[in-house]
Formats: sequence, structure tokens, C-alpha cells
Amino acid sequence: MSDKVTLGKLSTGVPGLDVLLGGGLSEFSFNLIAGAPGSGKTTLAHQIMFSLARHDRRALFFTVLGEPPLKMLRYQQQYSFFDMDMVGSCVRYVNLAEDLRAGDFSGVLSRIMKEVESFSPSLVFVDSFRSVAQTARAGNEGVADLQSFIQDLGTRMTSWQATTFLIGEYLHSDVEANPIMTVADGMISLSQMHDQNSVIRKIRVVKMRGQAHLAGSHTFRITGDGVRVYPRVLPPLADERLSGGDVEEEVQRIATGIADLDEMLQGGLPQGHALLVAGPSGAGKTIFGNNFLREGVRLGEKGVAVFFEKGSSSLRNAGLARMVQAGDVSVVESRMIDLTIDELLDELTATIERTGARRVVIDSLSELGLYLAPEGRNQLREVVFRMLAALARLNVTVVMTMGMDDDFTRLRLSQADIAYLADAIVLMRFGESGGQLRKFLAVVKVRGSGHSHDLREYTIDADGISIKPFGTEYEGVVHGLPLTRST
Amino acid sequence: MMTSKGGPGRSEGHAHLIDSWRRLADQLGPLIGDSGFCAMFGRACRVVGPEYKWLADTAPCKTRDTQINALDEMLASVAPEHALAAHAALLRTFTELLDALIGPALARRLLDAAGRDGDDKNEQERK
Repeated sequence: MSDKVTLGKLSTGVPGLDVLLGGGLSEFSFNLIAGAPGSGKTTLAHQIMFSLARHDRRALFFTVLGEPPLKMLRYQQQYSFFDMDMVGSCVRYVNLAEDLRAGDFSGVLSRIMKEVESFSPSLVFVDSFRSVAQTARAGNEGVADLQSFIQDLGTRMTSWQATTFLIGEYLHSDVEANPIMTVADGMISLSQMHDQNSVIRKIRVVKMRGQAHLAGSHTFRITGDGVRVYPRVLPPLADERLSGGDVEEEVQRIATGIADLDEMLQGGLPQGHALLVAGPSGAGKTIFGNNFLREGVRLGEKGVAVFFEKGSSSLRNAGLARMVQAGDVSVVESRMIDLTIDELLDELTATIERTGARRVVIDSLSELGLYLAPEGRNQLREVVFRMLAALARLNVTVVMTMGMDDDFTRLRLSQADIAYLADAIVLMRFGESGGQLRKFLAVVKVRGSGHSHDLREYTIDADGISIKPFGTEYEGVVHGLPLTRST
Repeated sequence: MMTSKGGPGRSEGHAHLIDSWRRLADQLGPLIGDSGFCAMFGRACRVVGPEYKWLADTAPCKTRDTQINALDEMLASVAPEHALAAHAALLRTFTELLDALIGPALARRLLDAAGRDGDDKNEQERK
């Protein structure tokens, strides 16, 4: 048994934040929440406070020369986490503005201590601490006094076994914040990244003493429920990847809804695979996806359709509309155009878990970029990788479409090297012959399984896609000018 | 807590009125500070001004203590029934202003706490 002290962890109640912190906030720690005005510091602090506060863990919130307290209460109570029943008994607000105007660091410290001794809080917040530092600096006190004040405050708060949060309009590079950063056990930095009219909020745990936190910047959103953090991590590995896990010998095959394609796939798509259907506009990629969902519904499986189109034109397809209305297929369709992959995955995962869907259609990856904030738009491959990693963990079978213009000089399988991320690829192309624009498809790859190497002609009619049951008699399809073998 | 001044010209009812304001100031003061309390009090005086012109003339104060002392003087300078009516109007207006800013539920919670504190203290004084 170890004699080392065990750090108590406090769950912040902010979805995703505990993952970044390495399990939660360390009890009795002295923390700085830093960021520019409007970055969400006060909201984050309130959310943590209302999540943690209770009758035997009271919270004292000192307001200083920042947002007037009544306005802060006016706005903070709009969030669902704000619990009025706690105000007064578990959560107390104290205004330090006048103490600060009148005195120096020692006056402020003695007022803080007076309130702490009176209310015995386990959580102490000072918003905005920068006001404290700046107001005192306007007098005769300098950086050394500030550091001494912070150290004194930190020591006293720790002695009172209070977990403390200083909230300040600091950037990580601010020299002024250095004394605080030095003394603080933990520092959480909030920022807003503005790029091409899009704004993405980022959160970073700069330091968190005594625990392995997750470094780097992570996206967060503020909604009516407060802050939600999206940790930039991959989902855990499937059980079979872990030592001692079950290994599936015979992978279940998933019918695609196109019988001849299932035959080309040697029984259907392996369950859990992500199939990329690539081809030019008009090749039938969306119809392929609808067939896949329809076949699932026929077999009693739920499906999810993720559309990235200008509107719900896919739902003009009566068959799909009926599946959606019947609740067999759920549609994930964003109306935001500064989407992050984290938010998309959050909604997609929630929809799959809620409906128990076994099939997912993403139509299409080409348009996904139009919905993403510039950050994701420039990293489409990473976005698709993270999406497929999350879907693989959910063990759903995926069909994703991608528009590919033929240039007939080389065989391109996808944009942005996304083909390498897919488990299987069906390539669709046009070819000219006999005064007609004919359609051809081939199964390019299927991981872990054999498949047909035929290049087959197909047609589209009211029933969907029909594939000829044999390889095409034409040569030169890949070059766009099919010629019969006899010519 | 601040205590009400007694003295000539002030009835027991008058002391009760002023005490209720002092409890309110004690409850809200730590939250909104002296300046916040005085600002809201000044605004309430302006709102009831058309009905009680003498209240509209209340001089702006910097601390809640001086603000309530000023009110004490003003209420003592008029007939008790007139003072009671002005007090009621002023308190109602002050509460409405607080309601508009932070919502009736939270305002009620803060003001009820002021009432409870007063009752607790009166109980202790009786003992």
C-alpha cells in the first residue's frame, strides 16, 4: 500500500472537460480560467460551480470590477445548469468592487478571508481576477506584490481546503499573467478562432499539476445547456483488438440492395465495413445509398442518412421519404456552415445510439467540405478518418458517396486520398459507345475478402440500379471510349 | 447589520419600515455593492417621484448606510400614514426593478432571504 496522498478528483459537470483534465479537477487546487472577453470564462465557471455546489460543498463567487453582478445573474440564469434553489444556501455571490476601489491587496485579501470564514466554502471563484491585479497596480504595488498576494491567497484557500478559480482576461502570452500562471496548479485557456467568417471556440488545459491531462486545443460550443467540450481523441478500440477478446471468424455479410453487386462482393459487404462509392455526377451514387438503406429496412434494420446538400432534395425520393416518415431511417442534416467534425460526430453518434441503426449512408463526402469550418475543410482526410473511426467503434456498416469527375487519362478513386481510409470501394464511370453514355462499375477493393474484378455495365430505372450479371464486353471503359472486343 | 435610529418623531412603525430597508440593503449589499444598491434605490425614487415628489428629491448617496439614513429622515418628515404609503410604493418599485433585471424567481429568493434574516434576528432579540 502506498503512503502517497491521493488527489481527490472533482467532476466538473461540463461534458467532455473531465477527459481533458485527466479525470476531473484536483480537489483543493488553485486554478486560473483565462481567455479574452467573450470566450466563455464566466459561463464555464458558473457551470462548474452549479455542478459541484451542494449543502456540504458550498461555493462563494466573488465578483470584482468586471460584469456587474445583476447583469451576470440576469444572463447566467438563462442556462439550464443555473439552479436558483442553490443561490443563497449553497452558492453565495459577494461583490468586491468597493473593497478594491478603497484598498490594496491586503484589504482585498482580508475581505476575501472574512467572507470565506463566514461562509466556509469548498469552492471559491474570483471574477475577474485581472481587475484585482490591474486596480492594485494602479497604486504603488508591483509584480512582486501581486505574486506575493496570489501566493498568500493560494496558501489560505488551500488551508481552508477550498478549490479555487481565478477568472481573468488573460492570453497565454500575457506577461501580466505570469505570476498567476506560476502559482496556479491548473490553467484552462479559452479562445475563439476566427477564420473566413467562421468562429470556432477552443479550450486548452495549459497545465494541471499532479495529473496527466490531455494537451492541445479542443473544440467547444456554448448552447443553452452551457459549455460542451469535444475532446479530440479517437474512440477506444473494439473489444476484439484487446488481448483476450473474441475474434470473429466468419464476418457477417450485409446485403447492399443490389443483388448482382452482392454477388460481386462474394455475399455482400462485410459487416462493419465502410464502402466508398465514387463516381461522377449522375452515376447513381445517391440511388446506391438509398438502395442500401431500403434493403436494411426490408430486413428490419434501422438506418441513418447523413446528407450534405443544399436542402432535403434527397427526400424528394418518395421511397426514402416513406422510410424517414416511418421512423426506419433517421436523417442527420446540418443547417450550420461552420460545422466541426466533433459536433457532427456527436449528433451522428447520438442518432445511431438512439435508433439502434445498423446502416449509415453519408451522401456525400464531396459536399461535406462545404459545411465545415475552414479548419476542417482544409483537413478533409482527417475529418473522414475521425468519422470512420467513430463509426467503426459503433460497428455500423457505412456507405459513403463521393463525387469524382472523370478526366479519362488516369484512374482516380477519390479526392484527398480518402480511398485509403475506405474498407471497400465501388467505382462508377461513364463510357461512350454507340452514341450513348453508358454506365459501368467495378469493385476496386474489399479489405479482408475476395471480390469480383469485373467491370460491369449497369443501368438505372425506377427500381434502382441493375447490374449486368457478367463483365462488360467493352474494352477501354477506363479511357472513356469503350470499344467492343471484336473491333 | 445596520440598526434603525429611534428618536423623537419616529413611531415604532416607522422604525419597522426603516429596519426592513436595512435588511434589504444588508442582503443585497454584498451582491451588488453600495453603488449598485444606491443606483437602484435612486431609480426607484425617481419612478415613484410623480406621486411622492419629496422622495424624488432624495440626494444620491455613495453608501447604502447613508442612503437609508437619508430615507429615514425623509420618512420622518411626513405624516406616518403618508410615510407608510411612500415606503410601500418605494419597496414595490424597488422589487419590480430587481424583478426586471434578474427575474421574479431569483429576486424573490434574495428578498425572502432578507425577510427570513429579519425574522430570525427578531426572534433572537425576543429571547
